[in-house]
Amino acid sequence: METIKENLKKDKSRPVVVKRMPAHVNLSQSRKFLREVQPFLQADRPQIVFDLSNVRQLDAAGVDMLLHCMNQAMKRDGDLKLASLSPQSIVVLEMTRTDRLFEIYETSTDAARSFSSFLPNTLRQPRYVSDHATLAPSAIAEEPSSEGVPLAA
Amino acid sequence: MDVRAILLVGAPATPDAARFGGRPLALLDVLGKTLVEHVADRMRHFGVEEIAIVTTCKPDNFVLRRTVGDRSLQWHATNEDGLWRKCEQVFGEHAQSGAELVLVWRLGAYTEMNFDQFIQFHLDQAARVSSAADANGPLEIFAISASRRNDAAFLFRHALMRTRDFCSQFLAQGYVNRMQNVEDMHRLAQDGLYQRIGLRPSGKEIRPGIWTEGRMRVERGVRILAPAFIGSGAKIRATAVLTRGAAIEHHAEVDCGTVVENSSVLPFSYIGAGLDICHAVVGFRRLAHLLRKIEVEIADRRLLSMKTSNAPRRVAGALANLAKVVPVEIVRGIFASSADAPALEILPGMHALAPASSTSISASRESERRPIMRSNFSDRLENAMEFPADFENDFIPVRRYGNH
Repeated sequence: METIKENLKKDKSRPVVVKRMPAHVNLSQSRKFLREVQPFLQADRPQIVFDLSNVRQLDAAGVDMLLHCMNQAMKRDGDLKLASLSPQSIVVLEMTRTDRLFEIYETSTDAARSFSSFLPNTLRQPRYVSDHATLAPSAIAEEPSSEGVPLAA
Repeated sequence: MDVRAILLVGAPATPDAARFGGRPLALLDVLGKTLVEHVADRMRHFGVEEIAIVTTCKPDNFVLRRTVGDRSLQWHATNEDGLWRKCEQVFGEHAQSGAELVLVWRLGAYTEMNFDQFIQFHLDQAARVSSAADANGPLEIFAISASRRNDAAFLFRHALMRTRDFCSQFLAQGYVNRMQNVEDMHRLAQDGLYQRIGLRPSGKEIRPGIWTEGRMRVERGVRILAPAFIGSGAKIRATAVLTRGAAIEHHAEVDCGTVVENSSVLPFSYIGAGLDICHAVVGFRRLAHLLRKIEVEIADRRLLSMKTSNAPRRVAGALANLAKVVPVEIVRGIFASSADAPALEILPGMHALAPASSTSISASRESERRPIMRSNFSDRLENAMEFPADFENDFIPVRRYGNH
């Protein structure tokens, strides 16, 4: 039985496929794109990144295609991640709440690296985090005083 | 130098906000361990060899079993009236057995300050008692020289509010979480998952950003996105989704098709099928919604419930459920119509809940019922989804993705 370390090592050695999506992801473009990525989806434990920087239009067929690709990758114990989302694609994914089904990164390089190591700072954070988070740096005190402050007894 | 520690949990006058489900936040699990255990780990990192935990609220048996092998940890349960006397007694025991310095920490706040610096500050000041504070006020962490038993007694008898003599104050540097409410507790879990602080989830990182502990069960079709934590004995049923900082503590169960986003699910909690848990802490049949700042008690066991912490009872319950479901499914399989029953492609977050006792998808109740989902991708793209004109009153439509 493979150990966890051996599996992680194998993750590092398998290639990560980065595919840029077309500008208009409608029914016909989705089918064409799916035909292009099908060989990668059928590989063993596929590691795939879709770059959405060029996407100007994403409709329900495009979202369906993304879900289908994700499902295919998961069936083979792989994963599909998204990177460089355009504003248009962000809106559609948030509206359909499919954004939370994918790990989304700012760049495709970060997404590719995330297959071998966890990169929390490169993960795209949802809006409510920026609205409500009080992150650690704000809770870190400033330089300590060397003498201390007397506490009234 | 022989440094010992006393950790206080559930001290009197703990505000209600510092509890959830009637239990102090310090005794609730955060990423596989209670806050007390995380603090104890941190103290051991700084060379503290013996840690006494004085609590007015008995921890659950699972926590006790988890720490039973740890000789450096001693639990002392007492009632509220006897808390401070117990602290004096434990302090005396530490002093008699050779301790030179005793750290007293009322949980309370979690901090990742440098205890070496704090101890050095105390020694440099030649102080009897030193306290730690940050920019927002005291942290209720004290360093007391072991020979100063009278000072310690005075401090305990005044519930850590006053010292007998001048007390030097050390300005703590590092992460501080006041743990004043359940929102703070959840934020601690998120900070740990996103590796903003030193606290790490228990167990092993099986994939980048995904930690699991012990034996847990994840069924087919589950979607888990980093960062996430799944505790020992937890069950994640088919097509559930754990995303954006989901922390599922030990022996919790997430039923089919449920989405858990940026939420903490406390130990032994059961979350029903087909639900959407976002920005919440769930446990003790309660749900605290962190964005809406509201806490709700859920009586419906199909939505939220608590599993028993007694393992034989859990097994008996599971067998009883199996005995209820299996005959029904057998009869249904024999007598149900098999016509027009397309194979459904199950996507994460998608679930059709028919009767309350069954989580299986049943699409073939009536022969005239039209299929809701098509079986292959190209059919779905070509044809619009068709919905039946009438729903049975116990059928919840499949939510394919999102809420729309």
